Parts: sequence; C-alpha cells; structure tokens
Amino acid sequence: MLANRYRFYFSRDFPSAFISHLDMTRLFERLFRRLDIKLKFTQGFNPHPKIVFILPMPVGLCSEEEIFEVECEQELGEDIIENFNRILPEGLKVLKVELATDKIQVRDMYYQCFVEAKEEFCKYFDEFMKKSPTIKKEKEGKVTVKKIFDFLLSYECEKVDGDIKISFHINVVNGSYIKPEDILREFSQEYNIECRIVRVERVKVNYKRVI
Amino acid sequence: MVVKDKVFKLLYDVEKPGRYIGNEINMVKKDPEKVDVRFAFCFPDIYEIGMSNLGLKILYHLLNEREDVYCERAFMPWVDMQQKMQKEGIKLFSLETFTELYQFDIIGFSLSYEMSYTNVLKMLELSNLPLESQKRGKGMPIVIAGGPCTYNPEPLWEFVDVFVIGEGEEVILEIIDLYKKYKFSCMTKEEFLYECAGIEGCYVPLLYNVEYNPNGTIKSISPVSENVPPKVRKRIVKDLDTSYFPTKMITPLIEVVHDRITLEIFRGCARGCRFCQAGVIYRPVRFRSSKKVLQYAKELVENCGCNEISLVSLSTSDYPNIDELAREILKFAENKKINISLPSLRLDSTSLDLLKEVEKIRKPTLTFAPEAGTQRLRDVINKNIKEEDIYSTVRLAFERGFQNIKLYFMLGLPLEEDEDVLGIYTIAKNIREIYKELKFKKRIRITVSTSFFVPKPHTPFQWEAQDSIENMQRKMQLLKENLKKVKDVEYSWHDFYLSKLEAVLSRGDRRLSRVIKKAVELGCQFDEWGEFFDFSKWENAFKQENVDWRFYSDRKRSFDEILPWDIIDTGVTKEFLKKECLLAYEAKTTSSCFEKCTGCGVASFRGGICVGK
Ligand code: SF4
Repeated sequence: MLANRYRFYFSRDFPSAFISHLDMTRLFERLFRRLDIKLKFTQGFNPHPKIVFILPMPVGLCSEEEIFEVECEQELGEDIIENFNRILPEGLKVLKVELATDKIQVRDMYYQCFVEAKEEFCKYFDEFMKKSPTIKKEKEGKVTVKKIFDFLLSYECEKVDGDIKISFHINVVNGSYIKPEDILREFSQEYNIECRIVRVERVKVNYKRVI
Repeated sequence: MVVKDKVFKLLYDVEKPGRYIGNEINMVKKDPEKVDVRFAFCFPDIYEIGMSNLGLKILYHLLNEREDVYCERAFMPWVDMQQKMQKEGIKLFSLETFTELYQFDIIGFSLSYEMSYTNVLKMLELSNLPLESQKRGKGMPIVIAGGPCTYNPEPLWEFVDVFVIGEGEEVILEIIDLYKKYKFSCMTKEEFLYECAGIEGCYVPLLYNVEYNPNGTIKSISPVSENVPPKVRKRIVKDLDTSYFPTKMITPLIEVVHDRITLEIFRGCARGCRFCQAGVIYRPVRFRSSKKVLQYAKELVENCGCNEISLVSLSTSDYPNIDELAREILKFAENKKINISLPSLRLDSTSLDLLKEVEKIRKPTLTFAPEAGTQRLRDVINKNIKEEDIYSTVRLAFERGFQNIKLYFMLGLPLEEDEDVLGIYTIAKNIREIYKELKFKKRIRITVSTSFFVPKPHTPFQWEAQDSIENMQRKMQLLKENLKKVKDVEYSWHDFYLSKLEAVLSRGDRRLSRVIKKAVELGCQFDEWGEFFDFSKWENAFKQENVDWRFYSDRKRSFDEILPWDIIDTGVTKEFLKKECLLAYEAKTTSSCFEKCTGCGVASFRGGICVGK
C-alpha cells in the first residue's frame, strides 16, 4: 500500500512541555496505536515508526505551533483531530492535519523566555549583548563556538509583572541555529548573575516550502 | 502560590523534570474534596523505577475504583530536586494534584527491596512528618506498608503503623473501611490500631513486645493483649481470574525502567529453590486462564498503546501451553507492531523456537540462571537445571543466530567449595568451545554475572550464615582470574557490601530501626544506587547505635532460635523449611508441586494448584 505522509500541527504547554524529544515520539506512536492507525515502520531490528519532528523540542519548551510528519499505511479520516485531542495528555493539542505533498524548512523563529532575576537584569544583559558574545559548547571533547549575532536577528529585554521577559528572533543558517537558553546560560555564567528560567516559549516559526 | 506552580518553577533546573509532572495516560483525575479518604501511594525510589512496579499499578487503580477514595502517587525525588524543594520550602507532593503528603489520610509505602528503607524515612522526612508511629497522632496520616519486604517487618517497626502482609488487594479495602470509621468518629488512633490488628494480614508492631536473651537472640515475641493475634497470617487472592486487574493502566510519558505492559499470567512458583523467598511467600501457584490473559492483553493495548507486552510470572515455562498463549497474542500483536517478551522462561529447543518467533523485534539474548557451577551445588539449592541442557540449548541458539548469552550465578551459597566456584568458569569455557566448534564468524558475547547469596527469611536457608566479606572477595577473585582465560567472556559481580547490608536488613530485628534512622541522619539514601551507597556511613550508624551487623549476616542460627519474623505466618511451615534445609545438606532434591505435593503447608489456603492435593 502506498504510504501517506501527513503533517500534524500541534501546540505544547505545561505540563507536557517537560517531555523529552524521544519521549514525544514514543508518546505519539502509542497514541496512533491506541487509535488503531497503522503507521509505516522502518525495517530491520527494532523497527520504529516514521515520525519526524521538523524542529526538535528541548525539554521545557512550550510552543504555539509545532509540526511533525508521519507516514501512515492508511488514509486518515476527518475525525483524526478530535480523536487525538480526546486522548492527548494535558498540554498537548493537535491543531491541524494535512497531507504533506511538499517539504518544509525552517526560515526563522521567535522565542520568549521568562526568567526570575534581579531588577538590573536587563541592564547587564544589554551590556553583555553589546560585546558580540559567543556560545561555547563542549561535546565529547570537541569545542564549538558560535557567534550569537550570526544567528540572532533581534532581541528585547523587558520587565513584565515581576518576571523578566526576553524575546528573541532567531535565524536559521544552513540548518543550524542557537537556543535562547544557551544565550541565557552564557550570560549568567559570565556575569555571575543568578537567573531562573520559568518558561521558554517558541511563539512563532516561519517556514519556507520547497517542492 | 499553590504547590504546583512552585514545583513547575523548579523544573527548568532539575534533571529529568518529566518525573515530577504526573499527567500520564490513564492517570486518575478526581475531585479531592469529594472523597472520604485520600490515599498517597508512595514508592521509595525514583519515578522511573516505581512506575515499573506492577503492584503499584494494581493497587492504584483498585483503590481508585472506589468512589470514596482518591489514590495519588508520590515518588522519591532525586537529590537535585530534594535540595531545590527544601530551599523553596516545598514538601513532598503527590503527582495527581500536587498536594503535600501531610494532608493525606493514609500514606502507603511499597516495600520491594530492603535497600530502599532509608528512602522510606527520607520520604517521611521530606513530608515533614514525625518518623515514629507513636509521634503521629490522630489528624496526621496513618502510615502503612506492603510488599515482599514486609515478610520481615521488624527493621521498620517503629515507623510504620500497619504492615500489610501478603497480597494487598483485599486487605487494603478493609483498612480503608476501618479508616473511615476512625476518621468520622471519636475513635482514638490506639483504638484504630487495635481494630486493624484484627484484620487478617495486618501486623501492628506497636501491639507486640519483644524480649531478648543476654546473647542478643530473641527470648519472646508476644502480643500486648489477648485480642491481638499471636501470629499474623498472610493474605492471598484465591483466584486470579476473579481478582482485580487494571486494563486501563496508567502509562508513563517518559521512559521508565520497564517500559512495557506487564501482564501477570500466574502467581507463585512450584519449583522450590531453597534460597528463593518469592518461591515461598507467593505460594500457592495460581494460574490466570488464557482466556483472561488474552482479553487483558487486547484491552491493555487499546488503552495504553505500548509496543511491548511482557507476560510475567516467576517461571514462565510452567504456564500450561505457554506456546499456544504466546502465539495467540502474537496474532493480533504482530500487525500492530507489538513485541512480546517472555521473561523467566526455561530454555530448551521448544522455548527457543517460541522466543525466535515472538521476540522478533529484540536483539536476541539468551539468559540462563543456573545459580551454581556444579550439579552437586545445584542439588543443594534445588535448582533443576542440567549442564548438558545448557550446552544443547546454547548450541541450538548459536545455530539460530543468537549472539549474546547471559549467565547468572550466585557465590557464597551454603556448602559451596572452590570447586563449585570454578564450575562457573568451566561452564563459560565449554560454551565458548561450542561456539568455536561451530566455526561461525559473527562476534559473540558471553556475560557471566554473580551475585552473593543473601539468606532470606522464610526460606530453607533462613538459618544460614552469609560469607564474610573476605570470603566473598576471595571467591570473586578466583573466578575472575579464571574467566580471564576465556575469550569473549565478560564478568561482572555484585557489590560485596551491598549484599552484606541486604543480608543484615533482611534478617534484622527491631534494634535495626534505630540504626536505619541514624543512617539517614548520616546522609544515607538511595542505597541501591552505586553512586550513593556508602558502607562506611552505615558502619558508623551501627557503631553509634551499638549494634554489631555481623550478628545479623555472618551468624548461623540454630533451628530452635526464635527468629524476628516468626510472627509472620506464610502458610509454609517451619518444619517444612527445616526439612528442606536438612535435605540441602545431603544435596538431595525435592520435586516440584506439579509432580507431587511435598506438604509445605500452604494447602491450608485452599487456593490454586494445591486444591485437591
Ligand atoms: S501444599 Fe503442596 S502443592 Fe501446594 S505449594 Fe505446598 S508443596 Fe506445593
């Protein structure tokens, strides 16, 4: 049977925002099985369903709209959204489902981070950002350094009801991007300022469609 | 701010925050205001371990079937979370409604491993509750405990109000009924405890006095009044088909240790290995009909969506027509891409074929547990595995493409000689030889694991001494040196000190409760986690409480000594255990209950296969 690739649009908020990327895949696999929908599986030992998230979601990320694509061995009915939303855990919601005939790539994205921090947070943060900072990451002994402004199109730091809200507009360059949490961590290390993240939100993602 | 919001503010800063969010598939949601009894089911280990426990799931759903009860769950927070909670003044909370534990009516602990005793106290501490039963008055939660460890409840006697002995499905409901009477009347806690002691399967330690001899052994255990039963008899469910089993089972959102549906196909074991406590306490064998198993399997898949069903029992091959059952399940499992796993299967050519067929998805690993290296010692422990059978199965397995062989043994068994230790090496060597003969090119791995014998209460070996640390070390070295000579063999052994402490706590008496409390004060928790276990802290705790741990682990008891757990009646008589122990000394085996009843005493429960014997 011909496999149909479907594109699921969904939102994620607390408490489900704390499910890891791998666990999200498994969760959806289970829900598809519960709804008795046949997915296409990979071959070989340990076959797994072909569920691909366009953007991986780090633990803790809330989002207004995310996308995964899945290959099904059957056609999905109109009631699919309703059926999913009936059994999804709190915080997850399917918004839209469409047949995927094209491919999509991420162009840029908007984030909001809410942190608990001292009054002068924004002042020091601005100062830090003026110095054209970098993000250093160590993975298996290899250090990679990314210049923040190679990816960051703009940012804004403001105070909102007791918390600090920092908005980021991040560009995707050759499939690579930076995470706002990493910027914040880099800052709090360098300035030795304690900042407690209480929410990270991907507010909007812009895609480009390719055929 | 409500507890939930406070908790969520910590979650960006802790490891695996998914442990603390609840919200799972099939989690029960109720209005706490609308129930009479709020029950906190506590598992003294992290979420991922607790959520792999079948007992938790059975009791959670069973209790929530009742409209007047809301059962919620709490697990031990990992250390990073503990610190953060303490800093923010958050007490231990439930995952369903984020209610702090002191607000519950009953707190029930599941005790499946002695090494989690310190975590039990830690959880009470994190709840800001007094540890000692006597310091918790009416208005504070009643603390109960169940699970296999309660077959010797004494080490925790001061902290737990009521121990549930045996299978809790019925007892727990009776306790709830009594609790309602207590809560909504002027009944005192003392009166409540007295009435609890009247429920069969309930042990209320405060209602018993223990006296000691000058040499430290027990002189007497006696109830404080005539109305308190002199012995507490375990409870069982007679029939698994009519007993409760949840098919809308709570299913975690994050990966847990056993991330699959566990479906119990029978309870108990008929084999009678002489070191095995489960083999005694879960007697008699009770089968669940294949019709029920099949029905449950289907419902569970519908409700949980898992990709694996594990058919669990203590000895899977003893299920009548296990092949047929597994193949029946496979029929619907296969096209839903569900894997079936069959743990504790005895391996021979038929079961190998079955394994190949049902465990398609998994990398094939063969697991053998001969437990001892020579036939003589296997006869001593009544482990009915023949060396020739291992070899013929291994040969078949290699031919069928299995590449990983795992072998489990025990060191330090009673009557063990160096020859028996070397027998383990011989088995590994011969397996490797077989592979060589077959001239295959693929790489293989033979894993040999040894644990150390821990004498357990209610077993024929309950009177035996455990090897000294020096002896354990020597035997391990001897085996290690020899196994080095065999290609493709990996050897791993269990921590000596952990086995030592396990032996001490399993056979401990009331005097250990002070030691456990001291150990917690000295910082012990998560003892079964290698990175936390620190025997020197424990040694310090023993020293400060003036207790010699060797008295509990390294000492052989005489048959007439009063044992701390003599208060508990498993149905299996002491005479039977003694007879089995004497047969072990002569290396004489005892047949399984399927061949003939050897009169262990459990038939008095009139359940399962013993009926009619
Ligand atoms: S009473 Fe007989 S058949 Fe029943 S468990 Fe004991 S030995 Fe086995």
